[in-house]
Amino acid sequence: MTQPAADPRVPGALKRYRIMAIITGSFLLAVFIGLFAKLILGDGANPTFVTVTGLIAMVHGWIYVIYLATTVHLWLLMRWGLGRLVVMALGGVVPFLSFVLERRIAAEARAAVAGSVEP
Amino acid sequence: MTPSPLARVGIAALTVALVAVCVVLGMWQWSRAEATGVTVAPEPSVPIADVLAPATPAGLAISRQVSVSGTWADVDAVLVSGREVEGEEAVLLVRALVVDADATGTGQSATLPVIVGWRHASSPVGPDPGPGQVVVTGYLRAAEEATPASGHDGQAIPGTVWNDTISPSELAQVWPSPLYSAVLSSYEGSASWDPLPPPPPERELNIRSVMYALEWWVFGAFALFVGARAMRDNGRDPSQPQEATQ
Repeated sequence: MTQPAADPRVPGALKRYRIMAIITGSFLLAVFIGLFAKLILGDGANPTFVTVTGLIAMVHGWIYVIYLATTVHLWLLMRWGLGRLVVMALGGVVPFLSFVLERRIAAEARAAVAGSVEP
Repeated sequence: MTPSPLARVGIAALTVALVAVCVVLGMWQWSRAEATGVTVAPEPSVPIADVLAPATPAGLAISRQVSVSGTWADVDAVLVSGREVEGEEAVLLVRALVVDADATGTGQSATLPVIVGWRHASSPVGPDPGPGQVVVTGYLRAAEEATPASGHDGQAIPGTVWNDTISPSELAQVWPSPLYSAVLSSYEGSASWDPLPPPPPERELNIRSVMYALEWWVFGAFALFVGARAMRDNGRDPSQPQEATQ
């Protein structure tokens, strides 16, 4: 089956997705480190530390919204299946997943662009 | 390949379920935002001249705590009927306070309607003979709409008239001008009149829960969008020739 021509917007969308995947993944790690620290320290946690981790969690929430937007955009352009979108969306909430995904998604998207028949 | 009708029904059901979950979680966070919000202490009491001038719209001055010095005017006080205070039928006493010229901010004295307090509706009395010069502390309330005078059948009490609203525009016809447009609810009361309870404290929403609520609703919108696209097989049928993708 001949692949349809890749949308010229794919490289841009891929770039935005990769940037957001790295930022979201980093914030997610910070959120989890904060959670673990709070679990270990319990009530002895420094109030400033609690405030800062709370702030990071809040910022992560909105970064995740942007991440989802870039994810959906790339997903639309690449015409991938629903299952892939679910995995990509999980990348913003499962630690380290976004870093792994970011490489695989980029590789696949590039392959698809390279393998497509230019009109 | 376009999804089969059965698959579309499945996707539609899944989408509706996801959106419902997001909406409900958002509402739950919103209720938490209200429940875990901190109580905001009211602004400390200030001289009335700082927040409100006579004969001007009350606007932001409403619910501010103020103190005001003046003398009780030698005019009829108003007994306001048909009220409920702390679950009891109540009558309110509203008196005219002539605010000292140096306390109004305009250099001219003005009349402020003051809710002195309340009593059970069955036992109204006249105003207590008070000291000439008073300092009243309380919070400002919005004026009420004037209503056509309803012939009140309450007993006549010397020094008072009956009414069922606290409307400065009505009072202006009998009380010395200029009048304030707001009403002061006194914290002190008087010998026969109990002060009205203070206003309920204002609560601030918990920002974090508000953010989470908004995020859940955004996720719901994403789910709706993606569900709609998925039902059309991601918007395009790859077996069809390409058209208008630019």
